[in-house]
Amino acid sequence: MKLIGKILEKLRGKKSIEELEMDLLEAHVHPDVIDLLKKAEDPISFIKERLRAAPLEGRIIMLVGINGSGKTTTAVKLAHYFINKGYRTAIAASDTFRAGSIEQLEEWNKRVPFILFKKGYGADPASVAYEAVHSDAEKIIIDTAGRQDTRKDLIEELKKIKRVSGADKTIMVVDATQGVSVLEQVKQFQEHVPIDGFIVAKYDIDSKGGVPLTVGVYTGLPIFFVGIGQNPDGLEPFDPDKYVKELI
Amino acid sequence: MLERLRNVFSLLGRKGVEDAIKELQRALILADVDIKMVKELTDSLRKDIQEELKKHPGIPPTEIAKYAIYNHIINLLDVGRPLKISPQTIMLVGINGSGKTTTAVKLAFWFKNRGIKSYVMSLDTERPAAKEQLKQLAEKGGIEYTEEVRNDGVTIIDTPGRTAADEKLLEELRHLKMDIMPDRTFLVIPADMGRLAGEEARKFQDSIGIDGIIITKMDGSAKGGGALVASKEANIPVYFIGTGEKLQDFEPFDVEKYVKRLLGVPDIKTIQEMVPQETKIPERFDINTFHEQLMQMRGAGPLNKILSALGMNVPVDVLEGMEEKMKRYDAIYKSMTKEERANPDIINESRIRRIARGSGTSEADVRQFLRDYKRAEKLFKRLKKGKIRGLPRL
Ligand SMILES: Nc1nc2c(ncn2[C@@H]2O[C@H](COP(=O)(O)OP(=O)(O)O)[C@@H](O)[C@H]2O)c(=O)[nH]1
Ligand SMILES: Nc1nc2c(ncn2[C@@H]2O[C@H](COP(=O)(O)OP(=O)(O)O)[C@@H](O)[C@H]2O)c(=O)[nH]1
Ligand SMILES: [Mg+2]
Ligand SMILES: [Mg+2]
Repeated sequence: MKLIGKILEKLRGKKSIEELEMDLLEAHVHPDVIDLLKKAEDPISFIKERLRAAPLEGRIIMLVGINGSGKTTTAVKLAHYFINKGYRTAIAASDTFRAGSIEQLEEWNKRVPFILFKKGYGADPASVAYEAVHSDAEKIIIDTAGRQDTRKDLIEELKKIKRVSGADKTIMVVDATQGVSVLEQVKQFQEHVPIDGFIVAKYDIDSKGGVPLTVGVYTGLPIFFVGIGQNPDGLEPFDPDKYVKELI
Repeated sequence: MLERLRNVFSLLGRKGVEDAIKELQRALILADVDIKMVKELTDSLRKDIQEELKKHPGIPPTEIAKYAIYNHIINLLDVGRPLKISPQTIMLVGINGSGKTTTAVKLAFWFKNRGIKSYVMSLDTERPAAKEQLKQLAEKGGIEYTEEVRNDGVTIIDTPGRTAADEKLLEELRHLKMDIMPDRTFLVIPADMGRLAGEEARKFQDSIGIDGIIITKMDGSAKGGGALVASKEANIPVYFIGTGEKLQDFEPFDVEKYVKRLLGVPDIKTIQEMVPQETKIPERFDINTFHEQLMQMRGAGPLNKILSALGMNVPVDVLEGMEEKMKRYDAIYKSMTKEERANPDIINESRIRRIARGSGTSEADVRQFLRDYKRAEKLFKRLKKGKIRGLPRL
């Protein structure tokens, strides 16, 4: 984390809070987060404190999020990343709901040699995860079905998957092209399944949007990676410094 | 958060116009309406309120503000014409994960339920198992998957995810479109889309041409303000919204509902209070009132004024070719008996024949007259109940 802050340091004092506010509003940063910044003595160092990257550790990693945010693609990217590091890696196809979700992973499996655990549509997502966890895989990624923040019942179901799998990390995959509503989504998920951080997918489509700042500053949780493109190697560490520079 | 939106209107009574505008701004920002558009909107809103205040010194400023806020938002949205229920080819385009594939089957299912044979077809060879997904969903809905556009029904075409940022891929999509020549192309936008919504819509419009918008994931907490920006930027109406993952979670776009969701429910007592004194709403509505209003409308009479004052688009069919129609309608009116005018329900086929002969018009003209009357009557009833678009009932 050595570089972080150099550019931010330069920004300090350059922009008035009003100018800063306009930039942030244009990026669709949530107004509640802007209010937090306004209250901070020094907004830039406040951002620096809260918005951070971190390495992803742990054996069992569960991905959650709303529909279409990029969970499955991210699961494959993570598998590719761990396999390259020499880990025996498995993906649990715990999205047993969305049409074509299992075939999507099967297709990927032709290109990326992860171990695929699947049970078919309608199967209990937790039992798929359970099998993967009790295999000899060194890294297990659990892909879950997307759900909206208004569906408390569905979010509640994630609890069981988490409990049964004993996930070390629960990561919310958010979409970089989203607007301010991402905050409400994060709050709702967090209320039911405590999350440990984020991966921001589709960062290649928008690297100047308000999503990383909104979720990072509000929760103080790390952003483990950003998703770049649709290929398995499209995962990069998050660079808060560069991001904030482009944002404001 | 919802409470805050609801406050937009209740605040007016207490804190005055400027505060209400501030709250409105926040509500719009929270709904992901672009900040530039929010500013434009509030600037012109202020002007409007000033003008209205001058015009109607009797009405409290806060009332004027409520009314202006509501109309302003409503007027931004192009209502569009209903989709024809007939064989056609519709192509869906949009950003990755927006809901194109799901929506393709929902739309086909919608047509199917209206008695039209419908098919889906996939042009997405990029996302792994995209075709498989479409086929599985289609099977659930009893919809046939096809490899080519069909003439005997509606064909909905699913495409790979594209964004405005990648012009090369957009160009490819344009070629796909030229090969297929769909009757309509819809842009699929998720309700929670942020700052890119407007730009996406504009670029898609410029490069491949789009005819309408479908907003997905309206079942989440996001308000779909991006769609408002997109609709304005690309100058196209919103046709449908998606409200869930199931095939039946799909409905035609309803402006009133949408604006209510965007702003919360306004605290407006009755419509009559808002309508300036001189344009009183008639007590009852029959063919006499209809005729009277029509004739007055030629010189922008009261009905027209009421409707436009309410920010309503008078149904296009009612106003189109009004002048020539008006003469025919006048003649038809004059050929009706007193009884028929007061009680149009008694007008049967033989009466229609008689009226047509008597007025020197065709039977089709008389039927059209009656249809227009019915439509106006419906509007009138909604107006009475305060259910009109722009000023929803509490
Ligand atoms: N450009 C881009 N597209 C992505 C990225 N991540 C996912 N996608 C695309 O977004 C769509 C939805 O992704 P998917 O992983 O199926 O989302 P899920 O429903 O959350 O599992 C697919 O078309 C993916 O190819 C990314 O980082 N960049
Ligand atoms: N809750 C909800 N989910 C939706 C809606 N429309 C699509 N989805 C989900 O969003 C995700 C992405 O949809 P998909 O059709 O694959 O998007 P595409 O990548 O644009 O083809 C899937 O999980 C769908 O089930 C909707 O209106 N509401
Ligand atoms: Mg998935
Ligand atoms: Mg698709």
